[in-house]
Amino acid sequence: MSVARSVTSIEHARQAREVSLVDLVDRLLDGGVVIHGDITLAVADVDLVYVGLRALVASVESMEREIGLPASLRGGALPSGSA
Amino acid sequence: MLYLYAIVEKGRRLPGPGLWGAPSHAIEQGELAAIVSEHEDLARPLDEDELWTHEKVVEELMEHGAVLPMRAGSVLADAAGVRALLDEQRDRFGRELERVRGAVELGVRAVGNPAAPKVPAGVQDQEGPGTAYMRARLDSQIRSDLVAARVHTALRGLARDHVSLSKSLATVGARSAYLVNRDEVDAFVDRVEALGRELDDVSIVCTGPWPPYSFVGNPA
Amino acid sequence: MGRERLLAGEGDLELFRGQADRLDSALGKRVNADRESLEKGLAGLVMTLIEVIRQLMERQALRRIEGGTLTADEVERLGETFMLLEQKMEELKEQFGLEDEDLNLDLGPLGKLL
Repeated sequence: MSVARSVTSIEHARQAREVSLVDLVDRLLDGGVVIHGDITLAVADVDLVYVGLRALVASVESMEREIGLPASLRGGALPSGSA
Repeated sequence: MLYLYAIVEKGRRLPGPGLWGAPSHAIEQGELAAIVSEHEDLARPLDEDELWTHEKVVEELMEHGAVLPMRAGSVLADAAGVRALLDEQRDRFGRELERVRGAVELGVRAVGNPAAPKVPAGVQDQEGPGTAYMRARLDSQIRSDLVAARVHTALRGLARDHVSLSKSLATVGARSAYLVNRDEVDAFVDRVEALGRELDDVSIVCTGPWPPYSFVGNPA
Repeated sequence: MGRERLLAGEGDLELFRGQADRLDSALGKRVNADRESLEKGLAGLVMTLIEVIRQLMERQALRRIEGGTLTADEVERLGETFMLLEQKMEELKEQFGLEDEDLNLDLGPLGKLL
């Protein structure tokens, strides 16, 4: 068990709402059906330089999947088969 | 301008108002319908309240049947554009509605004990500091993946489908989504709680039920 | 409609809270961005790039260690290099007043970088 700490129920409720919000934002921004065309992504601005960095990461990750990097060294993939 | 919330089968009961109180309505094409609200101007960023409003509309739809939730901020110019979308993607949307029917998404996050030392406590004989560092990094990496594997192994049989969400280069903790039959949600949550008790050095949280944001694909 | 979706998870939710700090930019508040000077913004960008490359390199090195294709000497030198690099990163972060969260760029719909 982790170190015992007293967390009031109010504090716990606040933390629970925060964790919920993080998961909500992850889903609304990274998930869902994506459409192309007349889209206004009215949630965040993205600089072109940062777009380039993200593309670099995505291409490395898909490269690693392709060359069959062991799961323990591949970021973001759940190992297949039973532990 | 039309803000899109979700895609459903036509004839679905309309949910309550959407963003900024605008009424939601359905635009139908074939067997499908897109649930939208109409706005003059949509240039401003969405804040926390507005994201929850989007979520509320989708969840109301989910109460009455299968739903394909839209990513936040999806906008089309007019009804013609919406109908074109529903027409072009009708096979794909049809498949995805079948895929998620009767199920909800549950999010699971597991974090291992954060006190992973960068330099290990005991350096082995004849092992330089650089080697010790690399050994610690390798141990940390493997430990993280073992955590992810244990959690996943325990949960995969209780879900219809799953997907990994972690995108980080460094495995800071496993994040994944599970597609779970509605009537199996309680059993799934019970298992997560049991895992939390079983695994001393791991903290796990489960959130939901969410509409199946992580189980709708994107056009190639 | 409530805003709580926690189904399971007791005790230390603090471990999961950390990511909430990055919500600010995703939700259009952009507090940090408004306060940053141009210099700090550039430093952050450069350091994020270095951090991305460092993590990539470290993963490649770990892969080769697992595969047994490095000599003991190479492992030692690699480890020392990564340690030094990590130390340098900490110094630079301190110098520019940057926290780890500042380096974990949130790209909105494109997701987080690190």
